[in-house]
Amino acid sequence: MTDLDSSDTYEQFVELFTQNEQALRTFVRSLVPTWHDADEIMQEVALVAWQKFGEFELGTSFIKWTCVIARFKALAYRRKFARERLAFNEALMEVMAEEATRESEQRKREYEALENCLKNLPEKQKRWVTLAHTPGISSKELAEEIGMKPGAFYMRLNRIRGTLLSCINKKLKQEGIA
Amino acid sequence: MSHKPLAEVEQRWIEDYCNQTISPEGFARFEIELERSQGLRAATRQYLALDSNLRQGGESLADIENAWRERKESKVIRFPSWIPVAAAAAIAFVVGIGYDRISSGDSSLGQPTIASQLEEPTAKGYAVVQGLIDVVMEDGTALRAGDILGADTISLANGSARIDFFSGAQVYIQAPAKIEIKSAWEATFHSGKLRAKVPPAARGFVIESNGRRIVDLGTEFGVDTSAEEVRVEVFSGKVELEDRELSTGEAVSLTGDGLTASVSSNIESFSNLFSIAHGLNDSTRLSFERWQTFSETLSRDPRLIAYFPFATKPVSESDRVPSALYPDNDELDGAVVLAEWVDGRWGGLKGAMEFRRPGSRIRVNIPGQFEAYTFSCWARIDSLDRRYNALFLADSYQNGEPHWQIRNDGVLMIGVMIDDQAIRNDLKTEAGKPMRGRSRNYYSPPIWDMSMSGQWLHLVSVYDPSKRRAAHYVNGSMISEQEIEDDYVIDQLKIGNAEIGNWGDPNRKDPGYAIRNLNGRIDELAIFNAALDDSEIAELYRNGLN
Repeated sequence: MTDLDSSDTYEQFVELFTQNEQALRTFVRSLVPTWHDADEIMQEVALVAWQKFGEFELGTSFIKWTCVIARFKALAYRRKFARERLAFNEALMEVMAEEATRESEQRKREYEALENCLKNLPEKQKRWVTLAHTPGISSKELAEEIGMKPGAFYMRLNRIRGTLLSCINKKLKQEGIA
Repeated sequence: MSHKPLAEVEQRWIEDYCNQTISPEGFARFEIELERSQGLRAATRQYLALDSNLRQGGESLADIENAWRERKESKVIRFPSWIPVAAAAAIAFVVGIGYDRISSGDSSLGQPTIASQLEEPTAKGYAVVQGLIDVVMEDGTALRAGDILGADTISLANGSARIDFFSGAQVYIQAPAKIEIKSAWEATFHSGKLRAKVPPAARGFVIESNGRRIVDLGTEFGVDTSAEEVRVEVFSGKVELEDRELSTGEAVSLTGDGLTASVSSNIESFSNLFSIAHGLNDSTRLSFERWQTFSETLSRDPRLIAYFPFATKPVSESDRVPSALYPDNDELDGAVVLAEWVDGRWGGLKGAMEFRRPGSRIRVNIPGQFEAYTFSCWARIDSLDRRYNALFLADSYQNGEPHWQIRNDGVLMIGVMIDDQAIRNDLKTEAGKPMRGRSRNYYSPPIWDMSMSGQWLHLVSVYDPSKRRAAHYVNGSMISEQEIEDDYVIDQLKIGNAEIGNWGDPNRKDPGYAIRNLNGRIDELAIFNAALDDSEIAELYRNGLN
């Protein structure tokens, strides 16, 4: 066990964690029904990963190591959110987790492509989709706020995400990855 | 089943799931398709990843920071600021700008159209007990070779067992051990020692132990939970853990909280699991030899009127199945039509006949007059494809002739024609004429469902006019018994031309009735001119067990 009082260790952990946070978050998101669930799990994962950081072997994959913890937390947390939401069954969660661990490279590229694709999006749409994905604002509230019916709101959201997705896939294809 | 570009309904599912606007019905369909389709799973993950990437700026490290602060009041380390572009932009929008109203012509979200149910019949079983040595179950229940295992938990108090998963993976366990079968591809190993042999076809087979997943990449490995932590050792090939791959000769210990530590190899601790295989071969050979002796004796039973052990395919005449009645009589041999010689209950040690193709059959002729029938066979049914699936059917179904078969709902039937000239009011031919023939079938409760596919079963049906009794037995035990009513008693029984595994002379042209090939195997068929009693039937079963 690494000495917990070592600031260097902590800095090292924070660096690793922040480097991998987005990938980890995306991994968790693929298992759970909502953003809210992913957020909660992420917090727990960060805590456990830090507590166990002494057992992490430097040089092995940090993202894989934390994905293991995240998978556990997601499964444990499932009982809670499955009561209120339509959540994947445990077996399906396992399969999704299993397959997701092999996709981190592709996810990284998609993330990079997204930045460019967002730039190409008409200004209005960009603002709109960004707003719809802002933490702390629920889609429902947002729809009400801007006076849209939820159905129309989601339709719009789906369409913009669809545009972004085809842009991402096109870019990846150009790179010969998709 | 292949995944073309996403169907519209699939795209809808993903979107609605992501927005949590999916209906419970839609979600149920989505989940089923997800389980089936890797392509749909990948598309779903990509979509959710986009959702994830568009929305950032979580505070997962805040809790740790607090924990850290408590530990070290003196020094608080700030996190490197990492606010992604999108999130930063989002915040800018929230602060101080008017919402941009985007009107949309789309006023409603159509409900996803539910694709027609594509439910296929699926087997409930995931694995089969391939072999046992001195097994005693923890809960006192009996486990026997050939048992199909579904989502079952097997706890061995004594002995060792080989369980073959339908994925192709072979798992050997040694008592005390507890294994929980999750699917053909996955099991949770709670305690004990285990050795898994995974052929290339079963790559991806998963053993979970102590909350950890061990994914086999086509190899042979051992798991030992006798120490506090689970030890995994690769004997050959590769296995994948969540955070690393292990190759031949490597070993690790796994802790419950998801961590892995390298340990030194100790293959000797698994040595018993390697000798099981030999033990199993020995016990297989022993049971086969016991059957051989029994079969020799049986062939001299004077009550026998037909006996086809299907021992081995004759070298010169593969289209004949020898009768084993003593003394030898070539006249009683069966003629093979399209049926195939395959492995029987003891694998390569003994044959069986398979009737997979619609035209498959074995034609026989059994002369004589009889007073009672006992039909006995070992059958391995793959599926009940026909309305009636033949075990043994007399061709023309004239007076006194038997029909022994299994209905498509798994009911075992024995019927005998009482009066082939009687006019039936309840059934008409396709031409609209009334059908002829007064017979009666005696039915068992369903004895078979898809979960038993591929499992060897011992089936016996008894027809005893003198005692007015018809009865069915499965694996040595009586499962149903019925009285033969006065109007349906016939004491002049005969067979003549008949078929094993199909029906030779259907008098109805409707193919639903005419084709009765059994999709499966028959290994050993015996017909007695007598009603065997319970203990004799139990003995037939015991001596035929593999």
